[in-house]
Amino acid sequence: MDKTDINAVYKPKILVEDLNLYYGQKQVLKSISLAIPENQVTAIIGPSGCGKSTFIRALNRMNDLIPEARVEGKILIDDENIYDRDIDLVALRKKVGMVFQKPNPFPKSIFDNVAYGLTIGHHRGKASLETAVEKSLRQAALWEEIKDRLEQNALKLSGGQQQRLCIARTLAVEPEIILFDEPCSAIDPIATSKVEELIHQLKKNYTVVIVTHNMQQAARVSDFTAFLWLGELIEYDRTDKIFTNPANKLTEDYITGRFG
Amino acid sequence: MTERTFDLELNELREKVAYLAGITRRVLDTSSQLLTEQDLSLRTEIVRLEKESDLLENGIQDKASTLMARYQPVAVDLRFLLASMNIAHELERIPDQCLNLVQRLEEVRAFLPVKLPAELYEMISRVKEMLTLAIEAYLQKEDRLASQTIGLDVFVDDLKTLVMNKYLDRVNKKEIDPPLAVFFILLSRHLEKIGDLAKNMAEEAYYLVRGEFIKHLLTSGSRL
Repeated sequence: MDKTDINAVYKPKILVEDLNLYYGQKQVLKSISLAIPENQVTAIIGPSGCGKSTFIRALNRMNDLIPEARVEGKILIDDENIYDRDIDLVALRKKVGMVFQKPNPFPKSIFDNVAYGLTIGHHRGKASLETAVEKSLRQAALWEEIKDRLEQNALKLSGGQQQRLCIARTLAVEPEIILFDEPCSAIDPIATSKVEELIHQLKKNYTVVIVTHNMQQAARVSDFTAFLWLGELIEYDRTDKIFTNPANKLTEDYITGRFG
Repeated sequence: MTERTFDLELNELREKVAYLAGITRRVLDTSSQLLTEQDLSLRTEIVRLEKESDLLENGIQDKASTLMARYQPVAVDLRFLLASMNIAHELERIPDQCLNLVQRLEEVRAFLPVKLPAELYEMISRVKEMLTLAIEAYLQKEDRLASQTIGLDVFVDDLKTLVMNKYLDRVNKKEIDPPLAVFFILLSRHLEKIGDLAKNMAEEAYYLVRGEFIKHLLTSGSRL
């Protein structure tokens, strides 16, 4: 399924057009074009070093933090090129939230972790803040587990709970897109299944892009899958198609573990 | 590079299906010999092989489901496991149909020996060819052989219709004892069913190779 086919059925939230990304002289993403549909989960898979994380970080310009990173091409979110000079990076990163590989709560209370993004530059009333924190924790399927200990230090939570707390923190600022960079690689299978279930729920309201090394996870949680190899987009299609009958031999070799 | 454990396991499964196909073929050959020679003593061997095919099918289903649980296969590996399970199921049903053939012959014991119509010999030959092609399509991962098998099914269906019309007509004209006419018609139905099972196997082989479900699609035209 090419970009045009997906666009015909699903409204694209993110349009990547001929994206090239370099770290100094080294080109790590090569002429990538794809449409990421709204309110769907799109998985990015590929071997280590293929550019998955670089790609996902390009979607909210996290690569700008790397001095040698240089980008060519366009990434349109809601028809606006996020690489335009006058783009508001704070607004962009509010719109495009990110959850990382390892849970990274602040050494603060559970409440403060979620409220943090809401309090920066804003003065909200206590009641409004409490409502927003509860809403985010409920959305992250964590509220029932921690509602009686909101003042407890977040670092005392289990790894899985910490990761859901980080998701709640991301949700609190009301993004439209959530990027997950291997969100379950540091948590156990039970916590993984909770995060995966959460991702299923989140797509009702958000567009989700997830990088994962776990093929079964990509197959379970995503609607679309993109396979990257050496910085190139080899195949992009519906997940059921990719995992039952991929069109490209490289994709098949990778997902069946016959790579290399 | 050493072959992966999973590939060795898949190959072992493939060999089990090939062995079951061999047993099935022996049942079909013995059944056709029984019909041709009208030698009911061959029944014992057919019953024995039918029981063996049941056990083999169980072993294949068990191994395939274990591999699914342990390796969570995708793409061609997933299709191979699904096709192997379904083909084993179809293969195991062929000896059941052969037992029906035996039973039909026993029912007309009083009339033996009887001369079988040429159409039935033709059907036996065609279904044997279909079985061979279907299993080769699976073992060699050859969609061309699968398509060929599916094409042959039309001839087998036509032959069954021909036998039915011909012997109903002869009964109406009182040219044949009704039990014998029923015997020929039932034989044609069992053989046609064996053809269907081979066709189902070919459809599974086609899915294995091409990843496309072609069940319930018309076989005429340019589809295959």
